[in-house]
Amino acid sequence: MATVADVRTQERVSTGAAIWSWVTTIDHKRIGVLYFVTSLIYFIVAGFEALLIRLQLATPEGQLLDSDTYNQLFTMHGTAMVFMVAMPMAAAFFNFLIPLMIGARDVAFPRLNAFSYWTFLGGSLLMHSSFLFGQAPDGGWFGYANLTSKEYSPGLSIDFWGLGLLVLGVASVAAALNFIITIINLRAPGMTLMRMPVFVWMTFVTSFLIIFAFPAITAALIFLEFDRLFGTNFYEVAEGGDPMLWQHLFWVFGHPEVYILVLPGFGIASEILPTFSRKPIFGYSAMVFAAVSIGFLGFSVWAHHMFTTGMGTIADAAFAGSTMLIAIPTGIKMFNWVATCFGGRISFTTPMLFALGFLTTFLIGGLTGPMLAAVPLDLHFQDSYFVVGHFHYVLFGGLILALMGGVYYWFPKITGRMMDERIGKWHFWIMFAGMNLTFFPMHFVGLDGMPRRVGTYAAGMGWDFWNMFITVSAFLIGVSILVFLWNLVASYVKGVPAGNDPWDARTLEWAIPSPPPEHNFDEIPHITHRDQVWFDKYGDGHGDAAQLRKTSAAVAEPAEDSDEEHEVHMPDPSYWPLLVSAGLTIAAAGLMIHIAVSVFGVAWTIISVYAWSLEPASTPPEEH
Amino acid sequence: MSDAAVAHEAQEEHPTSTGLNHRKILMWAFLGSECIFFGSLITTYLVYRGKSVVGPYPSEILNIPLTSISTFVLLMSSLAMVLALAGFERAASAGANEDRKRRELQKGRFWLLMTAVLGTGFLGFQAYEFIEFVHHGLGLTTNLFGTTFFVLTGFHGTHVGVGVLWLVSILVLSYFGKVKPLDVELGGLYWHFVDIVWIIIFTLIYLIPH
Amino acid sequence: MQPTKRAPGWWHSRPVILAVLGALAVAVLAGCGAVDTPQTTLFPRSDNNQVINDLYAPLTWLAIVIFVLVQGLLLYSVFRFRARRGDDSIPPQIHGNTRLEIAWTLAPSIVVVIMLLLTYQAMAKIEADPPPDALHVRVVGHQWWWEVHYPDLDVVTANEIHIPIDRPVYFELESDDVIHSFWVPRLMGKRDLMPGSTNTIWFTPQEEGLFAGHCAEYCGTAHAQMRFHVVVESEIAFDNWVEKQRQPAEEMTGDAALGAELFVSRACVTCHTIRGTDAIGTIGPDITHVGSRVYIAGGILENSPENVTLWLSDPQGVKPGNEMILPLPLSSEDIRLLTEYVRALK
Repeated sequence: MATVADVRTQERVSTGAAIWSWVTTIDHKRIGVLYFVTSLIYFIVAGFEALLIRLQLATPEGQLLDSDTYNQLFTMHGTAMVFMVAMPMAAAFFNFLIPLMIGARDVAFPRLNAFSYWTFLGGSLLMHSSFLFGQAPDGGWFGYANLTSKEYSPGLSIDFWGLGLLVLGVASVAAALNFIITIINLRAPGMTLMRMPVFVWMTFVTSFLIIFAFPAITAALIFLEFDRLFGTNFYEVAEGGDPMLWQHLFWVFGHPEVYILVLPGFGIASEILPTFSRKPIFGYSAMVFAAVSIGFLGFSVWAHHMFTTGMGTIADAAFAGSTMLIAIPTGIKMFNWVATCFGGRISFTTPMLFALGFLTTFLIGGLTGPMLAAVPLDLHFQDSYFVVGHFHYVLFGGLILALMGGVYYWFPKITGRMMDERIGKWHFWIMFAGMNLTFFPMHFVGLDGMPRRVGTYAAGMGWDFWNMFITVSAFLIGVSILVFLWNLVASYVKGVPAGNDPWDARTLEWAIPSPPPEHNFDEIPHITHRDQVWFDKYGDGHGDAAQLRKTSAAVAEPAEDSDEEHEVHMPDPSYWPLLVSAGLTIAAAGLMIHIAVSVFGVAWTIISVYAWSLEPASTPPEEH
Repeated sequence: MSDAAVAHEAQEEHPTSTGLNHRKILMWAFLGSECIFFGSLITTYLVYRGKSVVGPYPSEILNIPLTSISTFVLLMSSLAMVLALAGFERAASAGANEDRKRRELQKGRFWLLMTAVLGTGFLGFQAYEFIEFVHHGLGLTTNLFGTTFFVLTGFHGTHVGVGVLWLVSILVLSYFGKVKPLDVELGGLYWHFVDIVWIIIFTLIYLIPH
Repeated sequence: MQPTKRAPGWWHSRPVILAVLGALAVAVLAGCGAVDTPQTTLFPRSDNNQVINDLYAPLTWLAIVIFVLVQGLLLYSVFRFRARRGDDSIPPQIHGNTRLEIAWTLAPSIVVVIMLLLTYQAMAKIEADPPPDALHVRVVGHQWWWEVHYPDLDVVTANEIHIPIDRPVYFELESDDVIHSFWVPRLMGKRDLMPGSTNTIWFTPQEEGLFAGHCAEYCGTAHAQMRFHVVVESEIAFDNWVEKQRQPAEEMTGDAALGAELFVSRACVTCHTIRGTDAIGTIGPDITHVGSRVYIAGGILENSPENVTLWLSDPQGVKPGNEMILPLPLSSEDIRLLTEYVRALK
């Protein structure tokens, strides 16, 4: 079987050439697959770290891990899950789907897209290489100053973290810029903004959040690394520096980041629910405006992470208010999803189960959110297991379940084969049960006063039962992941061929072959309706599907054009994006080794950037 | 021009949903992101104003007349940038009039060079200022003022430096006939942005009394 | 629905759903005090935590009611409108309903307003200024222990805070190194100790007893073991305690006296203060009256001869990363004498 989504490799290719074709690829579909596989590997790594954490906490006075190792594990678990699993796995979907959904042949900047992936890989490898030196980051994913200062965190652990995140930030911003331009500029004729699938809208909003949120953490990390490497005073209390500066900058990024993580989940659910309800999304405009207002409000709530720092009553009250306001657009979305199902023809396929699971768990996470925004309650919940339970409901329930649903939903499009439904349902139920049994009791131990980020706790605190319970349940999630991996591999190898449109779905990607050809569309489609593919199949009416299909098929059949007239020139592969990423990563790593290495890395980057800009995007077509 | 080149050109100017060029929107979006970055640096400077526990303090060390001159130099570079773009655009619209085309292109190149020279001049002033400060005992690590001042103006200076490199690259490429007005325009957008950021920095750091 | 040979997927789930419901039931029971939880945020024993608990109830019920309504609506929708076998029909393609959408924009808005009003009401109570007669306590966080001062009473101690019942107590919170957070769940919500500035919080304890507290901001290696206790006692007991704490250490006799000599001749003096002796170190806690404390080692070991011995023989094993690093291991005889001494520092 040839590589995924590759239709050109009909002729036999050597392994080397195949690898080279992946290294130099600028095809958004292949880059999407690269993102997915990489983030899946990090998902397994960070999940394994979580299980080690749970084993340590299964009993009081756990002896499995020493406190330094434990602190490294929870730091890397959090950091990896946010920056190397959730974001890139969402980016995998963006990459694969956005051009297909808006009727484009690729993203606006295919080589920049490759650069984003390789930079993500470079940054994540840089951070994880810390394990090889026994210097894994241990300052928490939130890396509060001044614990991360050279004085309290000597060694290189925090540098691996800070520099790795800086590189990852470049990757995220580059990717987000690319998606913004793609969505603004590469929509097929007739695809107005309000005809775009909801998933495209969520990507659009997410990308804006990324480009406006990441500069804040970039600045914060630059200050941190300047403090650590060059001895500046940004977070140096003795010199008048204020650790609160970090907290403000971090959360100005950190709260929009929550929506960066969860909006893609909203988008995926908003595609799955209509398909399996056989109804359009309810209240499309409201869904769009709700997401946009969540995006805006997301920038005005950051200090609700800081109620216990003593900001004063006025600030506390203001941020409590702005935070609770987010419940309104979120509530609108929730009701619209439910209304999408209402009156439909619900089929309980695996993707649908995951989408419904997402609604349920996100509802719970969404309801504990306003409780946390109530300042007096937050004074207890802050840094307790209650908040751990809350955000796992939002991120595991809101994002991971949706992403899993997305995998089942689009796997046929990506590989041309169906995933196994029976195993898929096992996967769903084990994961759904596992996550609820794991994360719901965390609310209880939190209410019972168990602080988070503790690697050991005394017996007799009343936490023993629930911790053991949570640990056992966590392994249930682990089992579900194994089932998922099995299904993924087995279905890839011997899944049932899917055809163009196995789900009788609604959006453009289902009108083209599975897997799509390299140039996606033989002919750029002309859009007249939201859910164009559905409209082409059934028109606007309702009734007997087979009948409708027959009548509309005759109308929708596109006129056959001769191939010669529509020959598609795709941009050429390029290895310069990879080399620029490598240069950046070397420059960052050099700061921990020797400044000369950094200079070398910068020079490498500059040369590669020049080569990249001077390389023509595509070979000029042969003269006729 | 060969057919192939024309086809290549046409492909690059492929119609877009908004009619705007990809790279132009990219530049605007990127500058939007940069606003938040400089916003963070500037806010940090302001938050730490007057918080240094040891001297030298800004009032003792800032040389407002000198920096006014360097600010003027940078502002003039923006003017030069406008003229450079005008030259390249007129050259492109000169059509078959080869003589006028060459003349306008020469003008464009001259002003592009002037922009880079003035930018380099600004960097010279900044280097001089930094060295003076160090002579007066203000280093990167001396106090909060030194830390926030050098990091803020240093990152701005780096942006100017990147801009100079960029403009010089355009200048060189223009002799190989590889530069279109859009390329100059994008460099110009970036250049004006960096200029505006400096006006804000100059106002907040130098002009508002401490 | 009749069970058929090949049941649809969701039917398999009934045991799973039952298991989840069962677990919830157990959880609720456990939450209601079936288990002894000394550090619970529930069962308030102060005015501060009473206010918080009074807010728990309405907000939690609100959340539960909304969950039941929305989830009920969702379950009703998906089961009521499930596709029957072989039904290939297309339902009405409804794109929206303005009136409904306005309704469910207003509904969460009303809920938000209610929640905010309740929140502000509670905030007004717990963020009010402390009464002037409040007992004044200054707490300084260290990696990983708590330094405690009573500025008006001239008392210095560590890791155990005595306060009288029914009298407001006003805390000034500072940090000597990194950010910590002061949290005694049954008495008060948490407040951070910020390096470089002073935070404050106050409450009035309403029941005598020993209350567990914990650092609630990740502060490095031994964060998990940065505990402390608050002893709420009668006015008289508190006055007695203050009187005793103000005295220097008593003269020692017997083995304890030998231990005292050992203490000042060994590395102990570089870090600890024992008033009335030559030990005036300030890196570690003041242990002038450590023998009178209920816990040692920063609130993690009960104060018993065995535990003191354990602590002295292997402080890094008990609390890895802490700053009590013995330059030379102590002989078992030394440890015995020091234990006698420490226990006698009543």
